[in-house]
Amino acid sequence: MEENIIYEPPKHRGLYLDPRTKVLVMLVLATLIFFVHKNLILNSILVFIPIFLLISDKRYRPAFIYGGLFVIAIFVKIYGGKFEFPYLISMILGLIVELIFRFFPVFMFGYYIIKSTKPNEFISAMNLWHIPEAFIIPVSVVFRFVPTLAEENKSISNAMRMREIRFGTKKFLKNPSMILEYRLVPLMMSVAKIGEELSAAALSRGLGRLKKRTCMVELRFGIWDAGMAILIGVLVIWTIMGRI
Amino acid sequence: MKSDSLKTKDLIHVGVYTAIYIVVFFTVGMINAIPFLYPLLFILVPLITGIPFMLFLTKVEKFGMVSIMAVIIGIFWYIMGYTWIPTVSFIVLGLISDFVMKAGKYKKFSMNILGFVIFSCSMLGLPAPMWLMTETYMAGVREAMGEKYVMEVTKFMPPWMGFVALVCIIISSILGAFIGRRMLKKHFERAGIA
Amino acid sequence: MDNNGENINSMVVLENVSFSYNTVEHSAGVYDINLEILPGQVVILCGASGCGKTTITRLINGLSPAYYPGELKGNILIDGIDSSELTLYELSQKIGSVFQNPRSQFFSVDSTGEIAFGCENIGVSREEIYKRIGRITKDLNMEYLLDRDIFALSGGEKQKIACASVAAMLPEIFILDEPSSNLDLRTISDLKEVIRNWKKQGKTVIIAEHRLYYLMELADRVIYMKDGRIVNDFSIDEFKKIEETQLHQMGLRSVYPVKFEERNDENSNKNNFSFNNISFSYGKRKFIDIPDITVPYGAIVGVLGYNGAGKSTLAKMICGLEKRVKGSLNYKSGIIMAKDWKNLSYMVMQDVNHQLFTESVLDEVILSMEEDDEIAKENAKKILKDLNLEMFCDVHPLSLSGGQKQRVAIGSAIASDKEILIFDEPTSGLDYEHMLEVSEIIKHLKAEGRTSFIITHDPEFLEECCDYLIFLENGKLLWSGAWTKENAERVSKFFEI
Repeated sequence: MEENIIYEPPKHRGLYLDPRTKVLVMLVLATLIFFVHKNLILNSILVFIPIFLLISDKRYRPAFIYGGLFVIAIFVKIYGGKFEFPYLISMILGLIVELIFRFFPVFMFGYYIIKSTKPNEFISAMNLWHIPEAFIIPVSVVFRFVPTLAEENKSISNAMRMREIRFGTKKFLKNPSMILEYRLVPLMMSVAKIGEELSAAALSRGLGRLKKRTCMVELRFGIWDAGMAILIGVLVIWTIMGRI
Repeated sequence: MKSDSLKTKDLIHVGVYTAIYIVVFFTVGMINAIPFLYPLLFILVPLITGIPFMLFLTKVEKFGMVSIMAVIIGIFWYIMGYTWIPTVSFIVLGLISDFVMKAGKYKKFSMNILGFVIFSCSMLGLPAPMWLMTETYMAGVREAMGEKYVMEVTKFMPPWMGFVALVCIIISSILGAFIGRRMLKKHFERAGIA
Repeated sequence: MDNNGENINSMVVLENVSFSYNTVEHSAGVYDINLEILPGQVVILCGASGCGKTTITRLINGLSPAYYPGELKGNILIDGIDSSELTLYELSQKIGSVFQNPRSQFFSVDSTGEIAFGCENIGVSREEIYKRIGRITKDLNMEYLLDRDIFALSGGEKQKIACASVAAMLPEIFILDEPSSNLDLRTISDLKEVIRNWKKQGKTVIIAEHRLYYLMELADRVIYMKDGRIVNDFSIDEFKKIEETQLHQMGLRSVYPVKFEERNDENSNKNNFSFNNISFSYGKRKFIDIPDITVPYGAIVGVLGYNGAGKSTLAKMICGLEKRVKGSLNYKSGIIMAKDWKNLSYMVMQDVNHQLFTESVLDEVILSMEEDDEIAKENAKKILKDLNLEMFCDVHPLSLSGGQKQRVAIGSAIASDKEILIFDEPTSGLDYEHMLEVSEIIKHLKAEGRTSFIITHDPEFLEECCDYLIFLENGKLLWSGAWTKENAERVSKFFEI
C-alpha cells in the first residue's frame, strides 16, 4: 500500500453549531416569536440571531438584505402611525412589517439551517434522537430535491420561451390553461424520472438501514452550542417574565 | 418486510413529492403578500397540486405515504413561523385523508378525490391564527398602524372568510383532482411514467 | 443447483437467465443469458440501443427484479452466492454501480458527503471513512473536488464523485452503465484512468457502453448483444481484429481514434453571415467575449471546446435565452440585435424531455406553427414523414426512445421556420446507427438552407456531419474555419485521449 493519506475535513471557521442545536433553537424561536411582538427589544434580538449566524456562515447578501428590511420595518413600526398614507399602501405596509417581524426571523433561520447543514449531519442528528427513518429519509430527499426542482424549472422555462409559450401570445389566448399544463407536466415527468434514478442509485449504495448507519461528521456539542443554549434560556425567561 | 409497509424506495418518493408540494405552495404563496389576493391561494394551490398529488398516488399506494408527507409539511409550517395550528391541521387531516384513500386502495378515484379534498383542507390551518387569535394579532397591528387601519382590515377578514375559504378549497381541490387525473391519462400514463 | 462447484471461482455467473419487465418501461428484457465473469476481468457489454445491456447490469447489481420489477428465470451467482438470497443492502457491499445520468445519482448536496454516503450506509467507522476518502480521492486524482457544492459541478465532475462514492465502499465488482454518455473528452480520459486503477487493484469491472475507443486498452473481453441475447463473446484480441465497417454493421461505434483529414470546403461558394462584438457578462465577469464569428449560410458548424469554454452559453445567447447579451448579427443584408435572435434560432436541448409539451407527436409539431388548421396539419405530417416519424403521429412524445424524441424536437424546430438550429450534444448515448440518422437529418436541413450549430464531443459524428468548425476557449473564439489541413490537425489533437 502507498502512504496513507487521511482526509481531513475542513476546519469550521468561526461559529459551528451542532445540527441538533440548530433544530432546537429553530423550534424555540418559532415558538417565542408569537409571544414577543409587544417587546420590540426582545423581538429585535430574535431578528438579530439569524442575521448574526448568516454573517458567521459568510452569507453576506441574504444577511444584508434581511438586515436592511428589518431596519426599514422598525422605522415604519415606530414612525408609521404618524404619516397619513393612502389606505391601500398603509395596509400593505402594515402586513409587510408584520411579515418581517413575525415570519422572517424563523424564515431566515430556516435558510441558515438549510445552507449550513449537510444531509448526512442531519440524518445522524435525527438518528441520535431516534426519529424513525420513515421521517428522516423523506426529509433528506426534500433537501436534495428543492435545488433540483429549480434547475429543471429553469430549463423548462427556456424551452417554453423558445416555443413562445407565454402569457399574451395568440396560442395562449386560445388555450390559457396550457401555461400550467406545459410547465407542470414536463416538470413532473423529469422529476419523476430523477426520483426513480435517485432511488436506484441510493439503494445500490446501501441506503435503508439507518440504525446501522454511521456519519462522517462527528456530532458534538461545543462552546458555541453552550453559548446558544444560554442565550435561548435568557430569551425564554425574559419572554415569560414579560408575560406575567 | 411486508409488501404493504413503506420501503426505502417509497420513502424517497414521499420526499420527492413533498418537495414538489412545498415548492408549489411557496411559489403560489408569494402572492399572499398582497392581502386582497390571499383568497386566491385557496383556489390556486389545490388546483395546481392536484397534478403532482395524483401522480404521487400512483407511485406509492401504501398506507403512511400521505401521513408522512403531511407531518413533514406540518412541521415545515411550524418552523416557518405559522404557529402550531397548521401543524395540527396537516397532521390530523393528512392522517384522515390517508385512511380514506387506503379504503379505496389508493386506486379508487372517488376515494382519492375525497382524500385530496380532506388533505387540501388542512391549508385552512395557515390563516387560522389570524382568525383564532384575532385579538393578539390585531393588537400588534393596531400599535403599528393605528385604530382606523385595524378596522378596515377586520372588515376584509371577517371570520366568515373561513367558510368562504373552505368552499373555495373544496371546489378547487375537486377540480384539481380531476385535472390531475386528466393529466395522468393524457400524459403520464401514455408516456409510461405513471 | 447441485452443480455449483465449478462456478466457485467466478465472480459473476448468469445461468440460463431470462428477464422481462412488468412495467411498460422501454428497457428491453433479456433471454437465455449464460455468462461467466472471472475475478479481475474488465468486460464490455455492447450492442445497439435496446439490446438489453442495461438489463444485464441491473440483473447483476440486483436492481432487477428488486427495484425494477419483472419476471426472472434462471440463476444469478455473485461471488458464489445465489443473488436471490441477498438483499440489495447486502449486494451493495459487493457490487458498486455507477449510472448513466450524473444529475440523478447523488443523494447529498456536498461532494465529500456524497463520497462518504455509501460507507455511512453500510456502517463504516468515521476514522475508516476518512482514510478511504483520502486514499480514493488521491487514486482518482480528484482532491480538488472535495468539499464542494455538487450542484455547481460539471457532469464529468459529478460522475467522478459517483465513481469515488462506490469505490469507497470497496466492492469487488464495479458495474458501469453507459458512464461516458454525458462526459466530454477530458473527463472520459479521467474515467479511463479510474477504470485502469480498479483493474490494477484486481477488481472485476463490467461496463455497458456505446463509446468503445477509450476502453480498448483496458478491456479483456467484449460481449456483443442483440435483441436481448448474447450473440458473441469476444476476447479483446479477437474484437480488435474486427474491421471498422463490420463494427458499424453490428451497430457499434468505432474502436479506433477517428482520423480527421483535410477536405474540400463545401461552403466555399456560399455567402457568410456574422455575429459581431457579442458578449455576455454576469456581474463583472465576461463569460463570452467574441469580436466576430463568421459562418457560411447553410453550414453545419461543429462547436468545439472543453467543458466551461462557453459553448452552452453561446448556444443560449444565440437562441435569445440569456439576457444582458450585447452584440449584433449581420444576417441576409440586415442587422439583427441580440434581443431578436430568438425569432431566428431554435435549440434542440441535450435533455430533450424538457422541450416536449403536448400529448401527441403531431400536436407537438403543430404547436410550433402559427396556425393549427388543416393546412398546418398537412404540413406537420409532411415534416414528420421526412423525419421518419409518421407512424408515431398519435403517440405521446415522451413515450418514444431517446433518438425519436430528439427527432420530434427537430420536427418542431422545422415547423417553427427557424433558420438557425442549435444542437446540444445530439448524439450523446446514441449507437452508430442512430448517430447516422441524426447526421442524415442535419444534412437534410442543410439542403433546405438552414444553418446548424452542433455542440458535440462525438468525434465520429463530427467527422461524419460537420463541414465548418469553431473552437471556443475561455469564452473566446480560438479559431474557426472549414476542414483545412491545419484545422484537421487541430481537431485530431483535441480528440486525442
